[in-house]
Amino acid sequence: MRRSQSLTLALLALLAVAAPARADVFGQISLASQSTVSEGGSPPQQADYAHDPAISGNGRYVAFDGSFGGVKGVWRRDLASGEVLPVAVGEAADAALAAGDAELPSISSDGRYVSFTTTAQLDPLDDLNSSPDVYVRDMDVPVYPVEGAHPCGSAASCDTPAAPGAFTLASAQNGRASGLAYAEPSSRLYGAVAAGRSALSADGRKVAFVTTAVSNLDGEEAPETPALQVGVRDLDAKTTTLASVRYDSATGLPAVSASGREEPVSGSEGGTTFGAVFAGASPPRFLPPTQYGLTPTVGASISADGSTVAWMGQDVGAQVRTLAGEELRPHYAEPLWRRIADGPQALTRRVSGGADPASAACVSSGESALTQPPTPSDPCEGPFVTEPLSGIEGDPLVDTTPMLSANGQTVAFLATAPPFGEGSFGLSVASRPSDLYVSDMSAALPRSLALRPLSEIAGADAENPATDAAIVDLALSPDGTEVAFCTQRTLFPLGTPAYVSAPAASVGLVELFEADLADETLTRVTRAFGGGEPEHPHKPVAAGVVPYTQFDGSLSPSFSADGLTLAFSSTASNLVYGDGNTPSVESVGFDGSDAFVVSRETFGFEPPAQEVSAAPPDPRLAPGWRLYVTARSRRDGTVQLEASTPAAGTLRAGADARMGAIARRTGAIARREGRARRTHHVRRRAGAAHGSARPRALAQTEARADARGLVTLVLKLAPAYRALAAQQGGLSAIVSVTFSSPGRPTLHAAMPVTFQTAAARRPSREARMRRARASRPTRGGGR
Amino acid sequence: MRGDAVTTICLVAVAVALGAGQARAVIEPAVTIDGPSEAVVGFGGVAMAQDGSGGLAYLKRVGGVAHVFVSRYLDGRWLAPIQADLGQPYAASWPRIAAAEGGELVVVWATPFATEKGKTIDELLGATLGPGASSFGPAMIVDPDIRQGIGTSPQLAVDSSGQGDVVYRVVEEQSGQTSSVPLLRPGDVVEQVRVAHFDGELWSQLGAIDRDPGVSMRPPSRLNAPQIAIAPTGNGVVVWQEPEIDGVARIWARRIYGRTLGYVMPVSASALGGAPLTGDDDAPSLALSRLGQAEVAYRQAAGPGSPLPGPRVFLNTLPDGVSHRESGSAFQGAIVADSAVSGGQSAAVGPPSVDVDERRQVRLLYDSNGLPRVVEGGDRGLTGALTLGPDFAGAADSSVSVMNPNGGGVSAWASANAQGRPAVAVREDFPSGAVQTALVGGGAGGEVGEVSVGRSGLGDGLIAFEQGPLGNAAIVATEATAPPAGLILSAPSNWVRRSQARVSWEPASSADGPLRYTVVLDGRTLPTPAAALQMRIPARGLGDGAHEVQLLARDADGAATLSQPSTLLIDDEPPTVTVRRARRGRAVAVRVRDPGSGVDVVAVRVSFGDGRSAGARKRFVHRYAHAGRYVVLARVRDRLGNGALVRRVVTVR
Repeated sequence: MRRSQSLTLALLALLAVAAPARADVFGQISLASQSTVSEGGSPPQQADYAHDPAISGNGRYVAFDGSFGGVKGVWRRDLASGEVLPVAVGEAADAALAAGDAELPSISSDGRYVSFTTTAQLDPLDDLNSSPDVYVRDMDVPVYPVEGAHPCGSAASCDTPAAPGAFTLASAQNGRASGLAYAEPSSRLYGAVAAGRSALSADGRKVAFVTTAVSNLDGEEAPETPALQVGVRDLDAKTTTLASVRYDSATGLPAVSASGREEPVSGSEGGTTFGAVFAGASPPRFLPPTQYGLTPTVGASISADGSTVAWMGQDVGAQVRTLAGEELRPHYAEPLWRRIADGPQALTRRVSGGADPASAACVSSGESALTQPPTPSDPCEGPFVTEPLSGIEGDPLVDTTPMLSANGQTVAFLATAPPFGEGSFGLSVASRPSDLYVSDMSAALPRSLALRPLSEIAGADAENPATDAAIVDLALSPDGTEVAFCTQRTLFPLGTPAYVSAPAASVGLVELFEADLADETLTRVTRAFGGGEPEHPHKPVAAGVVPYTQFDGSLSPSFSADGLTLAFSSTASNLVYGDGNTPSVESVGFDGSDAFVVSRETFGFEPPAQEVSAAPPDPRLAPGWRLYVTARSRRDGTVQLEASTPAAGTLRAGADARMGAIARRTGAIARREGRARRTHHVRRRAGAAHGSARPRALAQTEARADARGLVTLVLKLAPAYRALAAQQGGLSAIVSVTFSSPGRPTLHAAMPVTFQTAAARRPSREARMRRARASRPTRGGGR
Repeated sequence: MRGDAVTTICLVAVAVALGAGQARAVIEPAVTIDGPSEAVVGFGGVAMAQDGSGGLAYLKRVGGVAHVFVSRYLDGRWLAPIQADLGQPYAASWPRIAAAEGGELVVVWATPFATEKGKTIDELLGATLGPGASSFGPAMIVDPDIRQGIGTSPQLAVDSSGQGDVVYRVVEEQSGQTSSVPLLRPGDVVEQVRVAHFDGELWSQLGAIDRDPGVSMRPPSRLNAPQIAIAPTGNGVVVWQEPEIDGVARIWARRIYGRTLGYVMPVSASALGGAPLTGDDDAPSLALSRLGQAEVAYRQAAGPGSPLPGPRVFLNTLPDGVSHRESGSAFQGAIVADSAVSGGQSAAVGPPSVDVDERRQVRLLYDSNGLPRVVEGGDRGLTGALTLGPDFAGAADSSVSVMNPNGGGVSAWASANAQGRPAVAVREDFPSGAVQTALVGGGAGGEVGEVSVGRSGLGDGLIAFEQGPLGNAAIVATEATAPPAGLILSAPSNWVRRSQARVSWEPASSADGPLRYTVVLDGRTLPTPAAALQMRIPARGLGDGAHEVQLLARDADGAATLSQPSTLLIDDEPPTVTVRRARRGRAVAVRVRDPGSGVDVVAVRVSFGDGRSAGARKRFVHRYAHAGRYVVLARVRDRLGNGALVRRVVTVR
């Protein structure tokens, strides 16, 4: 296997430089809402509580709202240094800069800019009301020119603004720095708000916000723009764009007023004026973070590239193209999407809903109303089963803000309506729990094909949170391939994404899950540091009763740009070791929520080295110390010896014969061979005459055996005896073979041989018979 | 599936590597069958048949759904993994594999099929990959209701023909639920241990086999999973853990005769030296010899007041019943396998792995305070224990042992290399006494999970394991082959002429074929035709005398075994004739000798040259009447027909 092994190793070495693999496995959860920068040897300080975390695209910073040492507001944690800095907090030397109600941060990709909502007039020159407004803090600019040095000396309060550029008012009028004017400027409940996590573009220069009060967002001086409009502020250009523009069905374009301004959405029913953004019965009030729950809010998302805005729309008929026969009441809600980068003419589009009038098939069909009963073959049918009164989202308690991918092409959203063909399980749209969906906004895709459900209720038991708990929060990774969401649900019956984690044994806190659309898996992210279920102390409850509310647990997920790190908040007290801010069961002050980060495991590919010792040697072939020899007479009068030697050594072979008895017969031959030989033979003949036939060495040879094996030797008669090999019967002799190897006994072998040339061989019996037949006279010839 | 690219490349790499030529090796470097990948989410063991074929099973996500994949091991190569649960829409769990000869594989797994009160109900399914088939057949129901598939831990065994049995657990009520059975210990569950039989085509349930449905069981874990083994006869043995009524968990066993269950036999010792053993027994390991002798090793905890100084591994034998002296229907009695465990009550003893061969030799491996200890024994008791090599390491103190019927065996356990990185230590002890060791791993390294072994019964082991953390796990396999065994070489028992020198041999036992045979003559290898089982010995160098002939069998991995020498008697020379003249007088002595096959006395005829002749003897003494020169002609022949006419001239005075 050595060849293949080395080939494998070579290939694996090539693979070692491959990109590290990311897996549906998340590492240990770590606490983000704590400062690990020790001051004067003091231990790390953990937040009293922390909500609404948002992680920067580079994964280094987490902004969250909460309280540190009793100081409330928005903070930013540097995950690299452990330092926590105030973004906009309540305890400012200058009371005007105290922003204790600042909340719902979004953070730019590099962590420099943080948007949030506060009633504090952090830019008192432009912010002239006490209504909630949206600000962007530049963390590179200290609040005071010299951080820590109070411009008003020791005064408890002064109206000195912060250093220029530290806070920028985002909910401002188009073309001006001055803030929006609201109908009720003294209200601290209504104004403009920005969604947490998704309100800021990656460069931190564009902010999406939603007005919750009648304002002058349309550019007029007087606040006449109905509430619940979507605005986008370009901080560099100091422009504010109305994103939620009324759709003019007559022109098929965004409506423009006589003054040339884009018209906001303004519908009314029963004396209630409806804006563009779904908010239930009325705009939510601006409130501090809710204990063990979601802060009721509205918002809009802006894509990281600043090109696209999405919101959960109401009065949909006023914002997008609908079928003529499509009766949509103002309450009807659908996620809406607008690519503002395409300019004022860009139309707002329906992400997913009860009809798809913009699809090419529907347009070409000429339909003006959906067929009844609904059928999937209707080219204008939308992906959801809806009712005129309720769109696809009917739960104003959850954060219904759709989330956008970095390029705005993918939208993740919640919907309570059942997808077409799923069935309603007998539940009305309003009472169904929210499920999670993503939709591809490619224009060529019919909405039904663009939709992908990521969750599905596992039954129709509204009382069973294991199957029917709502999805209460969500996040979409910048590349649109991962969706994080929060729910108490423990059963996920969809085949894809397949739920690949061990499910909780019973319903507990709201947990964080992550759907990986690339490999179709659904992973449970939250777990206690010891491996158990996330939990926090609670009052005793009866068996079978879930002690936690549907918003108690993990919320506010957000992805870093690479999708590898998730930030989220949780009220669980056992996600990390040493979570020290859990309030007692009896306390009512705060919920002990914290901000956490958790990273997806990434794995390198370095094949392990293997060690295999040498295989045992082959069995030793150990022959006996013996010599075997075979002999074969050859036609040329020589004898060939084949010796099997047991080792390397020297082989010597010699042929002997007693010559006395036959020497006389060879005398004539010897005489013909000359004098010298004759002399020799005479001597032998003399010996024979005396009857003393002696052994004569007829032939000798020698060879070297290099190793154990066969060695071939050829014995050739000495010239004096060669003629004898030609006699009939040849010359018989005894061959003696010796094998010697240093240090080993010499081996001997002996055998009779005959030196015999071809002429001396006795004809075969057949040849003799043939000859006899040839010499016999034929019968006829005899006569 | 971000790791797909890497995974694909890796698989290609492995495929290329596996397809490359083979050379000398016995413990192969481990190969990564699949991964490292987030898609690899479970391991279902490895199996091997006597012919060396086998396979391994694991769980791999496709479209996010875990499915059973199998890599077949055939002709010494791991083939590309194929899906076993074809057409199954839901996630598979608890895969397990068994191997029959010819590459046949049987796989079982659990998968959801219904919901009941909001909880999924699983069924146990099985599928077969027939010999020569390239895809698994349709899934067949083994058990339609295994409740929620908790702790199912199926164990599967098939015989060479593909018939087999599976044992598995069905947890009916978990701790915390309202129980219909009094719970003997906190955390106990109500469960059944069930067996199903596979006749090669269909599964049939044999039902619950546990002793007492009225007792609760310990919560299911890997360490108390039931075990099953099957002999070539098709009969099997199943062992499981079940508490006695006093709450102490013991090990029990039953024989299975096809579809018929034998009665329950206690395996555990309940007392030692008269003192009761009050600690739970767990981690049963089962091995079955070809004739049906069962060896069960298990771990005995040392409870309060226990006569044991600490936890110990016990071994018990259920004889095969072949001998009249031993009953095959009762265990002989559990004994402490290795008493040399330090640490007293705090000693850490891991789960044992036992194997037994056809000669009833036993080999047991376990973790003794982190040391891999192997215990060997036979019919006459245990013969000794040995510490093998590097310590156990990692969370899974998993080990496997393989008995080589010709001596020695293979041991493998979770360990670490010199840098402290997780690896699997493999050690092969050869019949010759030689040892080979290895530290193997695969994928991207990382923690080693359950180490599984498939045994050929001939001393070979397929060793496979999951390595790496969840999300980057890989399925890794290696092979430790035993050298060929059972070499029988036949040579002529009598003297033969060179042209009749022919040897033959029986095919050797090996799971790592095809074997290559080489005839060895006097320590010299002879060119031997491939696939031949007989050969004529070339005449060259095949001199007269006693030769030593052996057979060298080499398996596909290059491991070789040399047979015991046989003697080949060659006699290709005629008898020798010596004619000696007496020192005095006119007599000559003629002697005919043949050191090989012997002189054919009847064929001997000597003419003395004076008109007299004699024959039918080996020795002649002839006295000439007159002085002179005479030509003595002797016609001789040995018993093989090697004849000669020898002419000698003698001069007498």
